[in-house]
Amino acid sequence: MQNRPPSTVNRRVFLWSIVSFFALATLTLTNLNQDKKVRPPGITSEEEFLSLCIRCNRCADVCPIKGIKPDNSNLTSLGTPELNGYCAVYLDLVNPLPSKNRAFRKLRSSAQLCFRCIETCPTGALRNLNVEDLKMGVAEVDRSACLAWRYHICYRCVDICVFDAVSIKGNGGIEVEEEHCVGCKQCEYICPVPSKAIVVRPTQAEDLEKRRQLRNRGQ
Amino acid sequence: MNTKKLIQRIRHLVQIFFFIFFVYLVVGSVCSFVLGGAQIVEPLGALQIIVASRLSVPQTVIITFLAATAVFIGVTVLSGRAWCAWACPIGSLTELTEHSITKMKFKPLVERKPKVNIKKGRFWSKQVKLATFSAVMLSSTVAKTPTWCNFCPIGTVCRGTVAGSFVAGAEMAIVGAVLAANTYEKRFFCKYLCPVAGFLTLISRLNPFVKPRVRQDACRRCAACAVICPEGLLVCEEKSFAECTKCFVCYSKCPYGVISIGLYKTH
Repeated sequence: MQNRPPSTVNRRVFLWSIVSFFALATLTLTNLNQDKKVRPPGITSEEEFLSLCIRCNRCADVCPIKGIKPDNSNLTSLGTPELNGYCAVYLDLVNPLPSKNRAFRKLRSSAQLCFRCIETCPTGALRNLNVEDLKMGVAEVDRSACLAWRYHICYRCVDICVFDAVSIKGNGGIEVEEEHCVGCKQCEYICPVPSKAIVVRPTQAEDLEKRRQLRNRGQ
Repeated sequence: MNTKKLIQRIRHLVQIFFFIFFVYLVVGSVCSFVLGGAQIVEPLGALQIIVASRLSVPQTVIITFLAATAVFIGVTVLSGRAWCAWACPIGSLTELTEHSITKMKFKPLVERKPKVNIKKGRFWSKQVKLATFSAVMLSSTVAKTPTWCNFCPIGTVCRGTVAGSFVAGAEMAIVGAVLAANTYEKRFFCKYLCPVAGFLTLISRLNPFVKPRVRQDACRRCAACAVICPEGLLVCEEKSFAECTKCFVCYSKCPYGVISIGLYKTH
């Protein structure tokens, strides 16, 4: 069968593989270290997460509040899960309400954790952490928009936070303690200001560690 | 209805079933799901993650990966590239677009003869998908992230429904491009570029079952099979059939009806 085209890997194919390798690698490398996202619970470092996540979106499918959506904002993380709504953390908090969460705080130690996304993750990209080690992000208050800072009213985020991370200051404003905040976004969800006066910024455990070290060095 | 039509009807029904199963029913996507208590992880993704994370994956997960890969290799040895023609959501969508383009009377575009010259081979080499496969593995190792999973059109289709609507966003342009490439040549992406198909082809060389058999004495060497076959195989000359997707289109559409299906290929 001399007429058949050669079936071994020839020069053209080799060139193709080089080209596509560089295309894929540059596409990915140029996009590394871009702005982080608020991820589902169980992540300690973004880089490790990106290397382990298979982009199957099982976590998005099992989330009881459908708060996880595939991210499509940058090329390295296309299809990786992003915390779009809020995270219940505890099964009782699937529909958080200020009054309910306030009563829940006393029962917190014996309450059942949700963590369905962590259980379902097939690759261990979402790790089974203790509640104390959870760090999806840290909430930030926009003082010019916050009703508590402007008119000393509302305080819904203070009531809804079961981790006691949002507290009232002496002058009536509110403040977030970043050590306590897990970034579950429930305060952002309940905030009545249309543009959200309290917003969770992506901060993972490693970022917090770095900040802590910087602060220690400064002292 | 004769068997030639019936077998294609059955195939399309199976395709529709798998499309609904993978895109709508299953928790997760093709990339990973649970079937009867067993964790199934798509092996290309699993391999990428193993190299991307430099083996820092938990041990239990690696065992799952290896088990899933063993199942995958077993299934591929038994069925070859049947996945591509019977179950792959992108394969189904590709065939659907081909069908609708033909119905829309853009016939010359789709039925245009593939760039095949029996003596010289073709411009696009089918080995390119083996190259993409190795390129994906290499770039995953370098970039420390599963590079293919970001862009994989199969995964993107399955993720689309998770996002609430079928069209997930800008990433759906990837699927659009894959489908648009069909107007250039049948199943362009699957035939030349898809690393999953490349991985399957590597293993399906071992597969001895269910292959087209040509009655050589009755064959008129019209080379219509090369145009009919979605993979562009010149069925009457082909020996290994590693690329064969078991779609039986050659059996259904051979103008002289000389192609039958052999259950076991001896040579």
